[in-house]
Amino acid sequence: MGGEKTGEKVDLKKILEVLLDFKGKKIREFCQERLSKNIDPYEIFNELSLGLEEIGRGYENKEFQRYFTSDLIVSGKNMKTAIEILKPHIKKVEDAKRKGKVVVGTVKGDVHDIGKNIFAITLESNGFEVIDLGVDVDKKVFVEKVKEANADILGMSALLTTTVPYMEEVVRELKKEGLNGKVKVIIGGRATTEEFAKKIGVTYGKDSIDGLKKCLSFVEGEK
Amino acid sequence: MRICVIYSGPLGEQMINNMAMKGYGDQIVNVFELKPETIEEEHPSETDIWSKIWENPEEYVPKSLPIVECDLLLVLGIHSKLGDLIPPIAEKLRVKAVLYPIDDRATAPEARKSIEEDLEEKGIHVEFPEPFCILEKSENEFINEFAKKFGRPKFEIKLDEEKKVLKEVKVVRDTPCGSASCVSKKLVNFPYNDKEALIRKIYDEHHNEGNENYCLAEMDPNYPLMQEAGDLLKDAIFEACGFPTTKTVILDRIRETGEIEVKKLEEIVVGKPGDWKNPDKACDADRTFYLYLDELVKEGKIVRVDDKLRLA
Repeated sequence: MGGEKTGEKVDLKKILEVLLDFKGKKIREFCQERLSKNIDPYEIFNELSLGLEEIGRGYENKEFQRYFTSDLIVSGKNMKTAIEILKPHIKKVEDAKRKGKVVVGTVKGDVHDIGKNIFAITLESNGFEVIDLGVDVDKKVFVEKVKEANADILGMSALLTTTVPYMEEVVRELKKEGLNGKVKVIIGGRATTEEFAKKIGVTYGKDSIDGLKKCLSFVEGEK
Repeated sequence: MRICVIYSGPLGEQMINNMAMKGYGDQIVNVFELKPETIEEEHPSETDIWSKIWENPEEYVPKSLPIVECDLLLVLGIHSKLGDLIPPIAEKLRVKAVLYPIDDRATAPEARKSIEEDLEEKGIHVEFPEPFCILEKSENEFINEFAKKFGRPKFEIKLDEEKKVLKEVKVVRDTPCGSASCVSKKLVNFPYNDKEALIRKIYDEHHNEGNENYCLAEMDPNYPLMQEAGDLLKDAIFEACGFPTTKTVILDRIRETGEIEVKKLEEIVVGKPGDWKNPDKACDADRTFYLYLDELVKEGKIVRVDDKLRLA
């Protein structure tokens, strides 16, 4: 099942209610209901991602903070549940038709993986082979896996501002190992910015769809 | 006792659910969700509500709030700017006491002092436990009644000395969020010989999102409420097992040295976050260490003179 876009939009208020339900019942019902309407699982991810972004913005708004730590924890937990439910519904791509290999991971010191997981699923279902290193990944592990898999792309994620500088260390390690230019690097996550990406000489993906487009352009550019 | 709950968000919802499940359902007579949107929707033409609300809070008490008289008003996780509404609400509900826990700095009422004064003027007692699971007892009869069942965790534990496992773990007082009950279930048959493994298990289960209830307090290293809540839980379990607690470790260190600087003792007892391999470490948050110091001084067990501590 891959699903189709139906054009039916869910309002943000409903998505927030689903994401902030501490019992986790509403997220299951929401995903099942959307799937039963044959809505593309990506579309459902995107709808939920809009809610997560709204909560993130409300949490970070210093003038009028609308969301708190508990909202972040519960919405994150519900998003993980959504990933579990939606992942099996995503169309698999045969190995022979794979577009490229991508190593992904959340950098050292950071254990947040929701954004990275959504990005990995988006890539996989669009023909990429993804090697997911998980969270709290050391620069040496990133480099070893890129070499071992002969990866085309390395994707790094960070949610915490304190862990963003580590991305630069990974880039330095890649250069040290002679991988500069051989592997394309893309970064994303709430704490990253376009400016920072430019500064360290890599590409910025503002969300999973933008990240996918940029990964496609990397591999298409090579052909 | 008749309890009214004014809440917002998953944290409040989790606590209400836990209290209802633990036999308080018939005492909760009113539950009202109070969010900034509640006020904004009732005053659509006003632009600067948040600067006006503290000047004239009575005018902003939600019209949709059901007026049901009660003894205790619980305020759970509402927005910091809505705190000013609590004194007029408490008056309308004719409450005798207000329990306004703070599990996240961002929800701490901006005008805590004036809320206290306003309530005092109305003859209403108020307490702000921070975090909620620090609450143990109160001079107020209604809060004290509540604290018999919910607040600082307390257990009765039986050990199986042959198998070296925790045999029975009974919750005497649950945390308001219900995490203590969930952790207690995970500890039955857990080995106690390896203290580091036991400690890690307790802290992990305390905020395990896979459990029915788990700690949702703030976890900023600069304001470690979740870590403090974890410490209180660990110490309650260790006390019930007859193992050394942070308090007994503090007393032992002071006894060994005769006199010790507060900062030096903090470095020993708190150490680095999560470094449970360190045998001297007894708690994870500096807040817990200072809470216990205050308690030991009040209990008359230690004396603090300037920055030095000694046994009383």
